[in-house]
Amino acid sequence: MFTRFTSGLKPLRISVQAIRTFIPTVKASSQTPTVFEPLPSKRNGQSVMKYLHEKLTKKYDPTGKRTALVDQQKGLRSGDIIKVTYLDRTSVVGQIIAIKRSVRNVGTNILLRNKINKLGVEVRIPLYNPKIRNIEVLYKPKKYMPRRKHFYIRNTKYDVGDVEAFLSREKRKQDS
Amino acid sequence: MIYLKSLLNVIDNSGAQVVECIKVLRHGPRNFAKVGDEITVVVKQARPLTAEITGSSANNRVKRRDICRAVVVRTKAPFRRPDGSTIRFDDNACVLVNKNGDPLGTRVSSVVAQELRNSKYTKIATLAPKTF
Repeated sequence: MFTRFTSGLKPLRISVQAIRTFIPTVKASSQTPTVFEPLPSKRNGQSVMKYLHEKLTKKYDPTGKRTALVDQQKGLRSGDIIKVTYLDRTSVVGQIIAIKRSVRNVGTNILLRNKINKLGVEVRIPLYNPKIRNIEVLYKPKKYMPRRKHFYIRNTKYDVGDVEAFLSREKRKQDS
Repeated sequence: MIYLKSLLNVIDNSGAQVVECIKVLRHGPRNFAKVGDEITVVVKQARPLTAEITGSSANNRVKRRDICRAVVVRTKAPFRRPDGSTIRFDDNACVLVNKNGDPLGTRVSSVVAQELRNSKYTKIATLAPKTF
């Protein structure tokens, strides 16, 4: 031990030689790995999520009516007043304050706000719910509030009023 | 989500206006009360008792610092319906009840959640002017 520390180069040379002896000397030609043919790509190379969402929208919205409702350009917008009727004849009326949409997603939903007895109520309705019979547009304002999501109107002077009363007032205005 | 110390509006004619939750009944220690759950409350603010009020409602009048039971009828936290829709009200509200689950007051002044229809507090839902 003592001699090792004193003579500097000697242990180094020994270690280099030890490494060299372990390098395998095998010919490359004899070790060729077997290569298999690639598997055929599933769904013609379409991504799983895209395929799934397309399949689900086709299932829950065969006519494409609901998808057209939330179209970015021509569809519903925050500020519109809609009426959602269910298969059991119950209905919800409210002003849209947000539409949660993603591309080809059956999770799309509409957030409606209304005031009943001066108390704000909000309901988030899944668009592709098979129990919905019809979604009807009752009113489209001439001038919209800024932003796509109107969360900021809650409890301010821009807040939605009693939607039913507002609609009847608008109707009376049109008639006169 | 009604916890210990949550303040709730009272929407019946029992005399209380604002109550504070002091216990969520029949739930785990870290759980909270939802619509249709029973809680124990302290009356923090009450309408003054006047001589005009008579009859059965006078006996059931509650005062400040009274301890009673209440049923949560609206919550500010959104809750889910089985069809995937989510409901949210603008305030937390309750209706005072006795130990058998009958409401103390004779009227409910504003909207309550529809969940009460199918619970054992059907009477509150029928008293309410509207359910949502």
